[in-house]
Amino acid sequence: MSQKAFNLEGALVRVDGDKALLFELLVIFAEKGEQMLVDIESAVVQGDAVAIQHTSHRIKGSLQILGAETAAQIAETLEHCGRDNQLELTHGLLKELQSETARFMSAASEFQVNA
Amino acid sequence: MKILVVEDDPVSMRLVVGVLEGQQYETETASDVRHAISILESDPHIDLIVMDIMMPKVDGLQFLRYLKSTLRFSKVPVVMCTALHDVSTVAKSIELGAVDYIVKPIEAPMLLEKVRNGLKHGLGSILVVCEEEIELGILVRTIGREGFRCVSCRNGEEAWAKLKEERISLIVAELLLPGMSGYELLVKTKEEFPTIPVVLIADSRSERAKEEIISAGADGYIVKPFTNVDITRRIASLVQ
Repeated sequence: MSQKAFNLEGALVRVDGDKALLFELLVIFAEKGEQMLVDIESAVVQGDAVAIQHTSHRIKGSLQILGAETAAQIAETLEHCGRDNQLELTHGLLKELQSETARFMSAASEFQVNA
Repeated sequence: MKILVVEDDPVSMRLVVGVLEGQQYETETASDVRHAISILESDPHIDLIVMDIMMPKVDGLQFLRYLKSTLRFSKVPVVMCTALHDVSTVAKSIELGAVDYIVKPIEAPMLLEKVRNGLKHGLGSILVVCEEEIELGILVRTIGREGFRCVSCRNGEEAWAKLKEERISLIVAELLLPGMSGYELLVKTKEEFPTIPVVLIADSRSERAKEEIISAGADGYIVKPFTNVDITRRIASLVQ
């Protein structure tokens, strides 16, 4: 798989090399990301396709900016499941997303420690 | 320049705001459409909107449709943020009046390029020229209430200088002014800036006939005493 848990170079391109801004974005995600995952979980448990689409779309935007490529890809798949009202895979995708987001957070924390 | 960012994802929001403020743009932020409308209602000086398409409750396309059908917001340029694969939404955004779009994930250089280009589409200020202070205040307040940014001055020379240094979309000037008259301002404007509409306000006993003013290129002629409706109707027809 070519995607990375945390593509630092890609994330830095997005902020035009501004490490302080990237650091700040990671702090925001550390604060808000958990609630975003809770919102997705709630939508999946309730089988609410519209909410799955919306909440997955929202976290996808953050993950893409931060260089969390694999997690962003999973969020996008989940978003499409919501959009297409195909709920069979959503529980499994949610677990993958939770696990991959944790992997991203761990990789990103190394950057934060060394920043 | 002030930019309204409408985005429900906090990371995307902070990225956009951080990049824009790093380039000395002022920003206002709204995480949903209702909040965005309240900001636009209370702040007539928004020069551009950067907006996500997919948002809770009211989506970006619905909001765009609302903006473009509301006179006081219709000239604010809108740049939409959209997913790469969403070709039909991009087409719809442009059809509805967005000046451009940014494919997500947003990257700082691209964002700045689109914002700079988008700002060129915006409506410039309305130059209001009137010698008498109270009358000038009434005009500025009436025009400002419609959401237009005004630049005011009290004589023709000052107006001419403003025309050269600011982006002006329309001139509303009194015919009789100290020094350079409104008529002279009209003639000079039509020579040097022929695309800028000029509305002249004249006394009913003006020494120049309406026909003479119109034939000199005036786009509107309002006779005193004017009402707020006379002013707003004329302006609306010229900036549409």
